Amino acid sequence: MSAPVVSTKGSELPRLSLLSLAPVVGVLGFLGFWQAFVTVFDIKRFVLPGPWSIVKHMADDPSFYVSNARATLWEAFLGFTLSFVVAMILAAIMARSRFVERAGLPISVLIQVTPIIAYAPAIVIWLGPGLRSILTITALVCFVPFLVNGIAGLRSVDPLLLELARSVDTSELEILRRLRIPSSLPYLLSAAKINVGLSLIGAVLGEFFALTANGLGYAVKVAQSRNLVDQLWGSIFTLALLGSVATLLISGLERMALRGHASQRS
Amino acid sequence: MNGATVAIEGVAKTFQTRGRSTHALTGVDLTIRSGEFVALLGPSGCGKSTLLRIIGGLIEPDQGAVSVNGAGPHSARRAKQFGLVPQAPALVPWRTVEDNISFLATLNAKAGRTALSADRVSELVDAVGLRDFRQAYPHELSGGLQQRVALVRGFALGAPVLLMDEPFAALDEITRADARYLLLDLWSRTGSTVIFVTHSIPEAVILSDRVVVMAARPGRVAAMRTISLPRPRTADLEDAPAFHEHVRQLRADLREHHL
Repeated sequence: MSAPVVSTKGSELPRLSLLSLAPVVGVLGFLGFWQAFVTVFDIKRFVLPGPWSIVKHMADDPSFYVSNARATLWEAFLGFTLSFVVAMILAAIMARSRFVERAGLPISVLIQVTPIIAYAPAIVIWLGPGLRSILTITALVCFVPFLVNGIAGLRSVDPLLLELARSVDTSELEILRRLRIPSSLPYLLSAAKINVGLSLIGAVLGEFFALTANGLGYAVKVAQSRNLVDQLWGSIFTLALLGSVATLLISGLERMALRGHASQRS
Repeated sequence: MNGATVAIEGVAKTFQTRGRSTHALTGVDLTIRSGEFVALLGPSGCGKSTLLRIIGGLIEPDQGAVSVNGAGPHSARRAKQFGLVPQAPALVPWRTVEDNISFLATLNAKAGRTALSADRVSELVDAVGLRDFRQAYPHELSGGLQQRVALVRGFALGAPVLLMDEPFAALDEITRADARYLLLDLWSRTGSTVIFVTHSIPEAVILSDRVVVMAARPGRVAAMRTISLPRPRTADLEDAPAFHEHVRQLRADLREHHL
């Protein structure tokens, strides 16, 4: 009976590494299918270029994409950070007072349900063209996930632990610093994972409306008006790459930070 | 280190919930000597946990007063005179066992109560068999070990009064039996006053110097029994006739007030 035991043990390792390769297989499979589709059906380049020709185009002029990516990334990062700081301050207040929470909730629902693309032009009219409007738009897009998760996270402390802290007359400020903020970490990291993507959407959208002359959103807009299909797809690929790398970074951070939190996640 | 005398005089508390008022406690008088181990025994709803929180200055009584070595419960709480051991371990998940044990001492550090010295704490850690787990995280421990951490955390604060709210309620019977003797060991090493809420008669008898029997609706002190078993208490005593006589007596007390 020992033979089958050995054989299952033997298949255990390759199966695991195959599993970790699955995402790569998925992406490459998708790109391969796309390339084959374009080649087999002879789709015209100005309708839909294949991924290979898009990558070749990007390699021809990498500095264009690097400098525009830098601009968009910077806007997304600043908007993300601004949103995080404002949402956390409000979450700390709302987690303390049910009244303030109830008063503030309709506003955050409005922000969430009103399409940003509809009121983005209004923001540009109000704040003027340029970085200020882009940051405001980005921050608004990221705001609700940070706020809602912030409130939930700050309230997630074990009530018995809170009573324990009060039994030695711990101040609310110290409870916030030593119990509430660390408890909210898993919540904030999952909000951050959502907001990495949303902050890129916000930055690109901001560039559409805020009359700037750089960034990947601007490159997309120019490509559309001048029918530059290569530049359009090059910008899309760059944005996809930025979003993926940032999401992977946050996931890595989450895995590192939550090692001690293992009990909370299960 | 020594315990503190806790005096409770005429304490009453009524809770208002949705227009209905519940008399959680009426006319509770009780004096607990310094270093005494007292159990508050009664069914759910008899106000024993409420009384514990009033003593600890976490709930305000409507009438009556509590004093801890002559001071009010609020100033005693501000001076970190209470070591609380809650119903569940309630450990900080992202801190090691060692950091959890010193957690109460490090909170509100400016209050200035000196915690037990590192040597004394390490002695308590050894006494409950946590030596090899000092660097472990709570989720790596069994429920019984987690509750031991919570016990040591309560004593490590060095507070003269320990308030224990059914600390063993979530443990299985076998683990629970061990935990009782570990608690007695910790208590004998520190000499604190212990007020221990429980709904287990044998637990109250084997642990306590005195058992306060409480009754519900309204919550009140129904009887008071001094436990004559010798110390140190051992598991053998649970077979002694005197132990069973105490259990029988308390059961009769409870039955008299709950039918």
